[in-house]
Amino acid sequence: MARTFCLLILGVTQALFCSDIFWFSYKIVTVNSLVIYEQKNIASAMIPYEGKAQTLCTIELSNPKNLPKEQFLQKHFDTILPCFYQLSAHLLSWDDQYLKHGKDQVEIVIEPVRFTVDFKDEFATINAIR
Amino acid sequence: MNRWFVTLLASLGLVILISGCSSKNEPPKNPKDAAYEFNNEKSIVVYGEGIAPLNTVSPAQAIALAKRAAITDGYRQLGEKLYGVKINSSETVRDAMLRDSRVTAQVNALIKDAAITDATFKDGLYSVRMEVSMSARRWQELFAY
Repeated sequence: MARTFCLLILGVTQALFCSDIFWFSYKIVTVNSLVIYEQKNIASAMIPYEGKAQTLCTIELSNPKNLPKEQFLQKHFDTILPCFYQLSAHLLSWDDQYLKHGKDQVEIVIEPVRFTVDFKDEFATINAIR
Repeated sequence: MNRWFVTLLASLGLVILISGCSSKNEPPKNPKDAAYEFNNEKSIVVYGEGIAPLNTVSPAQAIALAKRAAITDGYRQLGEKLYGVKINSSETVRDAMLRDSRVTAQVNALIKDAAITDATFKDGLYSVRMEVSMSARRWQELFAY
């Protein structure tokens, strides 16, 4: 009983304080200018965090069907991705030329970053929390 | 009258003395040094290119993937300009003939605040124009931690 109660409190607290903060990270690998691997991650933050907000962008995006925010963001990942390009991107590149053969591999990783989305009218403002 | 004359002479002497001190020319600035000035901002522009793959479910997916590849290529070029390229090369020559040649170029970079300023798609090739403004001050703000 006590354990259930504690879990309930924990759940309510999470819903109250963390529901609007999400994690974002992204990885892409290309070989010879073709995408061979892509990893897109958006997840709710499990731990409350109070940081400084930095506005990344305001894009034309609305949620008329009132989908849960996380589900909505995952659905529109490609739309919000350009906002995160301005953040830190780790780059690793190998260009191997062997006689007539060539292999050019590029790997980009956008570090995990906390963010919030504010919907207003037809627009969504994305803020990175640091 | 005599006192006026002495004051005038003393003033003239003082003016000559001061102007003599100030007439010392500053050494000419080396143009190479200007490049390292703290606030001197330089814009780096690159054009990334990506190919639309053939095995996609729709043309839209092909374009989206070509765009991603183009952005990745643009990032690589920015990394090359900001951090440089590590080159490893080996060649084997036997009986005065080239038998083996291998060149490996490597870039390892961290890029912040890159902006996509233009994008075009033509004949299966996606091209993006990417730009990053950099100065010594900005470099310190972004990367020194």
